[in-house]
Amino acid sequence: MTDYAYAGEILRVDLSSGKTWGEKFEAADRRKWVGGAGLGAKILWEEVPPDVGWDHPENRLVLATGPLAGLPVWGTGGLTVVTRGAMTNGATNTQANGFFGANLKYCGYDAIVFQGESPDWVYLHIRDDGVELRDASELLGKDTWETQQSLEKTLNLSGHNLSVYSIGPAGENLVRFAAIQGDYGHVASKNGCGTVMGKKKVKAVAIERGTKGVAAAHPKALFAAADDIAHSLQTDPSTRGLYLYGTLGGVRNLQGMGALPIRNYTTNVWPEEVETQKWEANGLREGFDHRGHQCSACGMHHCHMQVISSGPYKGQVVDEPEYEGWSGAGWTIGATDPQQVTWMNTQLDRACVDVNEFGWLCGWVMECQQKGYITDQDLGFRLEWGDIDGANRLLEMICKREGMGDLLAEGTKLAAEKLGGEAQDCAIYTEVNNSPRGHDHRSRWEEMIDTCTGSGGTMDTAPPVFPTDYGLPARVHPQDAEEVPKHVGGLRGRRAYEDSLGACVFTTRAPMDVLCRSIQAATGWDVDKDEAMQTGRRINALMRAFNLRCGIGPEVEKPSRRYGSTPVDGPIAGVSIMDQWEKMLDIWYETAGYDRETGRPKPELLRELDLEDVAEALWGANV
Amino acid sequence: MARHVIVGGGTAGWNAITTLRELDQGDSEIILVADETPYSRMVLPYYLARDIAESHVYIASPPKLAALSVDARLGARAEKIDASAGKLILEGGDEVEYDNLLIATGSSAVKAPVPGADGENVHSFWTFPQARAVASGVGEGARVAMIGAGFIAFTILNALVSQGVKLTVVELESRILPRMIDDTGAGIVQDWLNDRGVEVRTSAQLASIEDKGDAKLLKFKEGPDLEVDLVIMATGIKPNIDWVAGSGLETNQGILVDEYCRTNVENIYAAGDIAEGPDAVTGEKVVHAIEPTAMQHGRVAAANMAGQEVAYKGSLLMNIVDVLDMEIASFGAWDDADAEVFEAVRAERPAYRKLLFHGGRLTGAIILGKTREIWTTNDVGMLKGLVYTGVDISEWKEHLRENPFDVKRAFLASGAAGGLLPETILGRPSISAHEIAVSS
Amino acid sequence: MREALSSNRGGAMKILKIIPEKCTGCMRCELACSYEQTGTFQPSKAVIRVSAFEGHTSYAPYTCPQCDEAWCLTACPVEAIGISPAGAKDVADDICVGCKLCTIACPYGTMFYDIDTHKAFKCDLCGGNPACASVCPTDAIVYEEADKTDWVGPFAAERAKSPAGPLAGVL
Repeated sequence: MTDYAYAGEILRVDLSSGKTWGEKFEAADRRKWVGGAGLGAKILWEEVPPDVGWDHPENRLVLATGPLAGLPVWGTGGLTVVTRGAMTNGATNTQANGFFGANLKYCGYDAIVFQGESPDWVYLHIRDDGVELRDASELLGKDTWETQQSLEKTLNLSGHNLSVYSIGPAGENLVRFAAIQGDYGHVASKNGCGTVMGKKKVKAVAIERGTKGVAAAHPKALFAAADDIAHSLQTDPSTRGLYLYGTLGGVRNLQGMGALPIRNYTTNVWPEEVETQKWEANGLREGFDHRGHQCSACGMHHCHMQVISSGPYKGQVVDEPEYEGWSGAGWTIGATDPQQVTWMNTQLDRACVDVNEFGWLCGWVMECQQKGYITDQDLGFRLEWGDIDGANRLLEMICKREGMGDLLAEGTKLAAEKLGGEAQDCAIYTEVNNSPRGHDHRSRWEEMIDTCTGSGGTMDTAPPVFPTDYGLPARVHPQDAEEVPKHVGGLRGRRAYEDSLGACVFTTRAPMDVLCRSIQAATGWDVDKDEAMQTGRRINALMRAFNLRCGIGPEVEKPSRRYGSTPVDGPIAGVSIMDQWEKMLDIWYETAGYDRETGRPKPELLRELDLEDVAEALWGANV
Repeated sequence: MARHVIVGGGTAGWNAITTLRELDQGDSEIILVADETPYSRMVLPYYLARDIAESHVYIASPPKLAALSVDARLGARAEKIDASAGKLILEGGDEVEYDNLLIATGSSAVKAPVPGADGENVHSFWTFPQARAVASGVGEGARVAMIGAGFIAFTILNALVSQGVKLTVVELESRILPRMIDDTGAGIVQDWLNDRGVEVRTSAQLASIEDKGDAKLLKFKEGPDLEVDLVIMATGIKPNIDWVAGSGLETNQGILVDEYCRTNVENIYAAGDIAEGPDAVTGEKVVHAIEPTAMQHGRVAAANMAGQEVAYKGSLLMNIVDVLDMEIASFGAWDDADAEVFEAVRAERPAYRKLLFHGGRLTGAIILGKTREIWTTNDVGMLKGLVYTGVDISEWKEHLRENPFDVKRAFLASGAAGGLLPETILGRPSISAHEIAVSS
Repeated sequence: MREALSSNRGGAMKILKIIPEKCTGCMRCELACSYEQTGTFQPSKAVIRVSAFEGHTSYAPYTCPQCDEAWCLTACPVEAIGISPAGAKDVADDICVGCKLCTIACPYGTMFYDIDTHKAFKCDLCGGNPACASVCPTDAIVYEEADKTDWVGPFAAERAKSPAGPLAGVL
């Protein structure tokens, strides 16, 4: 058995003892679990029992890549973080890109698995086989960009010869929605994965661009498949905008369908004073000195750096926000000046929190202030809609857990529950505590049901990619209570498979048979789209089983009052998702093959997915 | 037709021959006077390591010489020069008239002046015959003492270790590689060697070499005796200039030459280890006794012998050696007490950089790092480029003070490449020796 | 004879023209190059290498300019380096002994040594179809007839008035 597409080793790090060792990534496990989310789910299921909560030393923090990482398919520097996360206290599946996966594999590892808890703050330095936990005391208090700059100095490296994935002050102070940020602008943000890293007292992972090689089974075919994926991304109407502008086009598109989460869901109408042109994809780009800053092997025109061209932050270098940044640091909190929003977005990356959750939290505080549920005295100052400096002040309070920041650091759901009453009613969250993405999901029902039922700290299925590959309609009406859950349930698995490849979900948006050709060429497997889907469903089912074992079941699969409310204005004013909610769940469960009552994947499904042991664990030996 | 007489078939002599033929395509007479068939000294370590065959060591076989219309007097030795008559006199009395004479008789190894140095199984490692003698004496488990820890010694260290010998390196001075790197660098290399089973004794003055049965017993002024099977003397070299005494040539350490590789005597040129010519950094005349300088001397001398006016700014003193997968290189004036010095060690790699500045110019450098280290060879060449061109890098100086490892970006921003690209030493693009042929 | 020999130099030779303004630092050129060198994806063995300037906001690939002096070629003591039909200085593996003289002779830092094969290696223009140019997603590297010039120098210098460039103190 060759090691095509794999480094072949998993780096184990026991923070309690300071020991590190390599463990074989068994060939037999590779095809079944692939890497990334799959590998992480397997480790979580096998090594994290129910009594090991997110903050228990024996929790695992898996930083995994996958078979495509380090290869010339576009966007293949991928990091998938799997852990028992601080938001849901259940499974986490969250991604970042940059050069993590490429540089790690050139060092000879497919994944890093942290266990235990370090007595003192450390960072993990990886340089080929040289793996070392080093004192991080000099890095403490630094934001993620400062941390990377500091390590570049310490290690005398520049550019992509060093990848640094770190936590900022938010992670150090166990802000519950802390993220892990790397390579200037790439954030694995969901489910408090940075909080877990902070609890383990790991400030950063610094990976030098290793000297080892990654082989492909059929390299020429791999280049050809990569070219075909690139061609599809460049020309398919569903991805061309993404190729040119990343997700910048989202703002205007979503605004048109009433899905822009303006001012904490209080309105769906674009404020009159906003210049429309500024918020077109090309308009958002023209306003800045713009510089390419791609991930490993990627030809997409996003993930850029930009220099702020006007206003108080003029001259500062920031990473160009994706849609989520324009939303979380912008529309959600009522900010409409792109120069300010892009600055705030980078502040969030540097402090290292989830931009969505911050948006919901900050927008909620703003609304509560306006309505008097949170007084100036409670907060310590007045925070109006669109006040970027105020939002940044709030961020600092949260990161340092100062004053009310200590409560807000627990995230929207816990803070709102604590305040209760009318304040709680205007907070956007899910009962399971998956942070919704930065849309108004009251007009995107597929995302609301996906966010509420997701087992990895966020959506499991995510926006449909070439649904016709699996016999589903190319698009369905976003408020169709029958078709939406069939779509979400029916495409369940594809995303989990993508999340296991070490690639970016933007660059895997190609027809599945084309994507499979790249995996075949990389690994030598005869994998097809059905196997890919089957594998993804296995991963989803295992994460769900993990959550059920942790006591997280269908009772929390619902939106908060505001999140599930009925829009008062805009294109879908008066259309209520909650009227259809139970019906949608019925269909979703049926489609996914899960038991409506208990939430468990059905035994026959688990057997079909080659998860006999899980079937036994959930249903007993005799079912 | 002009007659060029070349004495010595080493790197300098051979490069002179190919350059002459590149320029004149056979339109001159070339006589080569050499006591051996031309071979490359640089590859002898690989011969010792049994990586290559004997045939690989030769650079020019008699048929190859014939193809280039070279009248090769192999086995002949020059005895003296009669400059006033324009004649070279060979041992045995033959005379060769010349229009241009190139002296490229190289250098010889010098053994430490101790009793027993001329005994059996005590060899220098400089010439092909000496290399053969050493090669026949080493093998798995052989105990070998290397006297001298300089560049020459280190070039064969890998070969000896790969043969499975038990090696002890003995150095008179307080550090290894005393004329190639500084104390810090030497310390790193010494640790590296010790970790890999090579014993190093510094500040060890050899007193005598005695026979003890079939073995050799080395006695020192201080310290314990050392019993080995074979002794290699790598204790220095000296230019072979004795035979030119009385010819009117100005000599110091070697034969003094100008930027055209001309000596003080008309129509006589000198090149290679025997020549004391301009240094690229200091402009002063110096014997480098290194392969790249010999090559450049040979080419420059030949161009001028062929009637072209080719001046060159001098060669750069530089050395590189790989010891058990650690790369060690130095350039220019690396041992300059007047320079401003930036240095940094990264012990865990290990790696070391030392940069020496005069004003905004890099005038010397030491680089040390694992051969597998991505940036090592990269930085080696760029350091060479910066020192050789003397390009002003004032704007990067503070950065390099803080991070002497960031050579690459400083090099790219320096414009050194732009300055170098139009430069050719002979004023024309170089071609491969394989392309050189004489017109029929 | 002279005319025949000059076919691969001067005049109409294609070179790797680098347009650093277009480079986004994705390093795909390094991957493709290392594949040509080793058959695996191993950027440590790429002979084109990308540097970052101004923090992480600017990038420039850099490789052998196939200089006229051919420092590597003239330095080689065993004549292992020749000029290929594409005009590239090219190492013959069966002749190279790995002495590294070329790596110190080359003042561009584009002559490399492979610790696994014990041979020198360098950009050979992939025999006339350079992989770096064909895989570059932004056409920052193109293979065409152009001047042999320092394509990266002015860009790097512009961004290196101080090492962090115009953005010093910000990044």
